[in-house]
Amino acid sequence: MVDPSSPFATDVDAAFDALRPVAPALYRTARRMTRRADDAAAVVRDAVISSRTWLLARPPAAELNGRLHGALWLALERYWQREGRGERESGPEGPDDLLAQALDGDETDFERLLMSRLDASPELDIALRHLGERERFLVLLVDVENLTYEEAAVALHTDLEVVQGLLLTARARVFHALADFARRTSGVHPRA
Amino acid sequence: MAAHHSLLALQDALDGRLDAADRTALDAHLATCEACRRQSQALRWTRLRLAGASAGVDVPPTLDGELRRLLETASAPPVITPPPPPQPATKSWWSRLRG
Repeated sequence: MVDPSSPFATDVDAAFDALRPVAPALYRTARRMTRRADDAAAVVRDAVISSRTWLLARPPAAELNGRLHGALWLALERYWQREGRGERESGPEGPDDLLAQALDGDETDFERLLMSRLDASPELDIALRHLGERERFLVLLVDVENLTYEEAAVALHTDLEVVQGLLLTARARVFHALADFARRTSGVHPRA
Repeated sequence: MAAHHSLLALQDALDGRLDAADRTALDAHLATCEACRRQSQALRWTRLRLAGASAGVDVPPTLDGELRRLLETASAPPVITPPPPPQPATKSWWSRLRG
């Protein structure tokens, strides 16, 4: 790896060194936002192409996560346009209702639910599909890829309050879906 | 019993976005309020499950090479294509018909 501060480092070397640590997160997020692996790779390429000039100008490291994921979001919007569909939104239930429904039951059942093994990725992927695109993208950024709220706000071209509200609703919806699955597979029946 | 905390406050605590005083007050409330404690545990459980999701997607080994080539293509000097040689003028079918 070339030291980006070296006068011998080319702009391409510096841009690639900046992009390389973020690229896996871009791909993982794109993979969960698209239908096929080829589509995910194409969306990531689209995002990098649209960010090339900025990357070659050696931007501050603090801006990389937010701006590159922002480019990814715009590339996803173009992908959905080509697929002939608009951005899908989630259902109307708010986080309070979602959690109330999922937590309806006694303490024992809830403890069993928390102890249930739901490490398998397929169940999580199914739960993520219950989310609209914006909620899914946000929860992937913050909870899977560990972006900060501020970086996620840049990525979604919105403000912190929107991020807080969307993230809460998204997490509540994921919990609701996973809790439902856990009940059906582990015999937990919290509803009286 | 103190009023229930909003879900946003529980989320802020989960994500480390509460100041020390608010965090202390929330912890004191959670110690006595089962409803808020269950909501907090639900959000924490969900975040833990999601944190393991990155392991479920394999990044293609060719990705780095592809992205490097995209950056190199952008920085390459432009290829100047010479203009095509002028084509001889051709008569329109009407002109040919008139002779």
